[in-house]
Amino acid sequence: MSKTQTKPGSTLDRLRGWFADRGWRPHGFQEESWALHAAGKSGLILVPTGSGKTYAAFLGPLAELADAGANPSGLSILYISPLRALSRDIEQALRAPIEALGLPLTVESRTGDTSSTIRSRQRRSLPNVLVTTPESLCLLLTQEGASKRFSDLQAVIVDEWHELLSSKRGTQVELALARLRRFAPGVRSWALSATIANAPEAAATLVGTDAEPAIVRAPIDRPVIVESLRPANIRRFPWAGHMGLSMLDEVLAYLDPSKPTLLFTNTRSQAEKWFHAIAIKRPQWEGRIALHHGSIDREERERVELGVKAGDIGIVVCTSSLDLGVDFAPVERVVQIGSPKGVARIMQRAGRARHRPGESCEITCVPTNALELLEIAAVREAIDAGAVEPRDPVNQPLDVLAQHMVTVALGGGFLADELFDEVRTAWSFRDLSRESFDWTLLLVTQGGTILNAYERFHKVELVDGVYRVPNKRVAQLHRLNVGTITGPSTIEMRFVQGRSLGHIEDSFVGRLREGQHFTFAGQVLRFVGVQADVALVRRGTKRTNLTPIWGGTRLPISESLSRAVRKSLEDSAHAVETGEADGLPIELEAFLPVVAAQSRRSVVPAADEVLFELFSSRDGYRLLAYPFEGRLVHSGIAALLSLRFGRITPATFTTTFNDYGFELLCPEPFPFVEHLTPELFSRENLVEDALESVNTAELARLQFREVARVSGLVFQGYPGSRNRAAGKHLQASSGLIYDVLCEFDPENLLLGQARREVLENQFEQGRLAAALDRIASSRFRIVEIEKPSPLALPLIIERIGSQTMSSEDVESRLARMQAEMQAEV
Amino acid sequence: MSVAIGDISVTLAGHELRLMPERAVYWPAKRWLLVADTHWGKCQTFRDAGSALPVGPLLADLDRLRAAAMRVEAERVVVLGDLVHGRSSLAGCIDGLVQQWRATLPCELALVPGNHDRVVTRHRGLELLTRWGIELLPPRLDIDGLRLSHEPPIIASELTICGHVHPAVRMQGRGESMKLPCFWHDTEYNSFVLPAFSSFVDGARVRISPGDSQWATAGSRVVRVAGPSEAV
Repeated sequence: MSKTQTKPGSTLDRLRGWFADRGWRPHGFQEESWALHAAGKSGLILVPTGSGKTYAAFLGPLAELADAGANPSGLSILYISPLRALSRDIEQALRAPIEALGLPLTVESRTGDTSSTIRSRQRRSLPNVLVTTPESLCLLLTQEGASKRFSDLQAVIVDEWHELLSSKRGTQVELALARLRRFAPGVRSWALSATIANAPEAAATLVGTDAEPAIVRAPIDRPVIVESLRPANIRRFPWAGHMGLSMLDEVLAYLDPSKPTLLFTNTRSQAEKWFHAIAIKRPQWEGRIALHHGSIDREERERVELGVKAGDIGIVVCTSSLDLGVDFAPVERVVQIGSPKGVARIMQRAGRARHRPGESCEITCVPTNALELLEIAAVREAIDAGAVEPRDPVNQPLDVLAQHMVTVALGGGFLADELFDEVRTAWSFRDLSRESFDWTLLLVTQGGTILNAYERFHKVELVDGVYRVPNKRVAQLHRLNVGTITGPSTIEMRFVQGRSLGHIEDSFVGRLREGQHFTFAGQVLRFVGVQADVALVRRGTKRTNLTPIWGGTRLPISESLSRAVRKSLEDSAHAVETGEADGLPIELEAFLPVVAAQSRRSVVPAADEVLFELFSSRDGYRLLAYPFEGRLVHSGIAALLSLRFGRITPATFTTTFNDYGFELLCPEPFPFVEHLTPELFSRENLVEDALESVNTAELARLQFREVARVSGLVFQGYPGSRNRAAGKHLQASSGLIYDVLCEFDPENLLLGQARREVLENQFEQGRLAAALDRIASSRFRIVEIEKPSPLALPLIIERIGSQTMSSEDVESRLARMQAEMQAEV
Repeated sequence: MSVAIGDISVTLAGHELRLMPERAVYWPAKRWLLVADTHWGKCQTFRDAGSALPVGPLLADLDRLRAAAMRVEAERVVVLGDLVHGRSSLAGCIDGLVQQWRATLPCELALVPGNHDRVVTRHRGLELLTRWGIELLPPRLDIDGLRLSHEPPIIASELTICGHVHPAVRMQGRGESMKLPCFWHDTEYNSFVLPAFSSFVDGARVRISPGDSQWATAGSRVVRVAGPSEAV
């Protein structure tokens, strides 16, 4: 990589000197980024965490600013991070070179945590370099003088772009950037991202439609190594289930509090269970192990984070809450309990261990059931092949546009034509029709399109030809509700004596009885009651297995990983067939007895085959299939097949699905074989059939929660101050509002948006279509089985589990079925 | 008049009451129609705050109230509190709409005031009640052995018919569930709580004790969903 041509004594040269003083040398990708910035380019820097990405993006703009000589009086560089908890660390990192070179530049943060003193000072004048979050940036954009305050902006840096990209927060950043480009026409933008499959699209989404983005790739100098713990006895290892406590002994043997470890789980209840189990088995580790997940009180989480940084806490059981964030220098080991779910996810988690340039990073995966052995082998293969997932931006979310319109109307106002052109420079809105734009404008100006139906609604109004927000209270409520993060409906949980434990789903609290024991935040608690919107608890005295089950769909395994899993299965089938296990990954070797059982009871499908099993039992007649496409796609295919089968021969089906396959259960004999044709999997009328096949209305009603919140129909305020912010008179659930709109304004485009989001979120529509094509062109292997195969068992168990049987019943039944199968060997 | 399809007649403390799917109770002995928590103007309060909600729910609620009164040929409609939603709900078209509607309601109309009604029971708010032809009753009305109030009693006494709580039940079906407004006979406090009449109010799930009864309003029917079999 060629160095940027700079005069000796230039700031970049001095920065190189500063690097040298600290024993560093600029990486090639850093030099490349600086040169591109100096050449006026914007773009995307793809680089793993902890490799000096911040300086790759920051030092170019900094050097330019310093070289310009003049003392800038206002904001020049904006740094957007999705995590406000990180702002302090980033601020320090940005300040270091400024102080080292003695540059007269100020650096400050502006997040939800910023004190009111600093905020009011910033209202008068912004620092030269500002670290902020997407939400706080939007709040700045609501200020009357926004255009002036941003007019000197030279560069915007967006951190963790891969995280923001595929969410409405990303869309909000896109629209904010479009705004900033109007305020400061020469402004350049740089995003930092982990490796993703669709880098060009990610870059385009950042820079908008009016620029050609550059893409800088850092060579991967930290290979990710996937290790695993395997059950001592595969014969007794469960074939279904997700908690994984049967691996507790193996994990305990591996853990060592003197080697700081992050133990990732897939759900919050799994984290609670694991923390509890470890605490009971290793009482001597008290104080050295901690629990960290999104529902736990923020102060406690910060205490844990500091404890890890300081090296006081040796083991943290955590969830995605620690996927991003503070640099945990002391962490030596990363453990993943349960399905890896995705390739990028495992790479991200592996990267949380100590950063030393050039060193590999390791992650130890622990399967919770036998089939996850396949996934572990598959994720390693996918990482080696560089098969990470894409992150798709959200397409034209009108709720985000509606919020943005009010923001812009507050921040100096807008003209409709100008704003339309500006919004269309944002990648996600590049195809926005004038019709949809005008509809959204009506939403914020008149409430809706129906004449007189929205009496006295004036959110945004035309004042002297400019759209503005004249009403003070509307303005205040909008500012309190800026943002697109929609949490589940939770209430605070506190000890009667006062200390807060965190937030917990309403629905869980609703099921608790007075005096009932449960575990939360790693402690056994006794429920006292709900008072003034706070759930009160005391320390519990009994042991309990009850843990909150948090809402939200389980993450499906990704497309990239699914593909690798199919390949791993084929490899192990080949090994069983030939008796040649040489060169097989160790997890697949452990998995071979399961494959053998599968081929004994049924067949193991080849990569170009789809296996269908027919199985009849007391409960009815089953069709089981294993496309290995992830649970959402399977739920879609199952619903679609029920509908299409039913059209040929009317029948009622119950469906069950998991990440590997699905089953259709019919109480009566059904001619499955006769009807199993490739046409059944046709993608013709896919959308119509998908909408017809599920209770779309109910799902859309749920999805409307987010749409209503983002578009400003319901008021959330800030988490924790929700009720104060909204005021007592502004309480209505989004479901209620959905019902009202369906009845009185059925053409409302926000309803349509909720339905579209259902198709995407519930079925991964695009992936579903691709999966259908693949199945239709595969060879069908239809096998009648006498007893459940290892692939069938998890589905059958899942169905039993979803019925009213207690979990003990399910577990004992599973153990019995499995024992039977092993007895055959 | 016979009980129409969809209504359920119950006898509580010797009083015959007819539970109606319109979310109302008819008291045949007095020919009174009892409803609670109409929250008129709530959508306006939302619109004022910048939430784009249509006027429709208020119009539909007014129609439903009139239809219920006419169906049983009530002599008087008594609203058991929270007639209006709040100060901001009184601005705009509501005054005109209610006046128009009142002219078509062929019976008396009275209010047992609730916590939201302070804006119509004081000062200039009283003029609104006069314009709307609504008689203001005391917050606790003892009549013919029944007590009418907005809030449920704090200690059990004679049977109290009230609102305030917006009770609802969650019905679980196969793979779906829905929340339905319900009537609730709370035996602990000897109260009979009406569902919120307003269609723009979220129902609250209530903790019922053994011996309590609940009746859900589902479309055009009232359905008994909880309670001892001998209660009715």
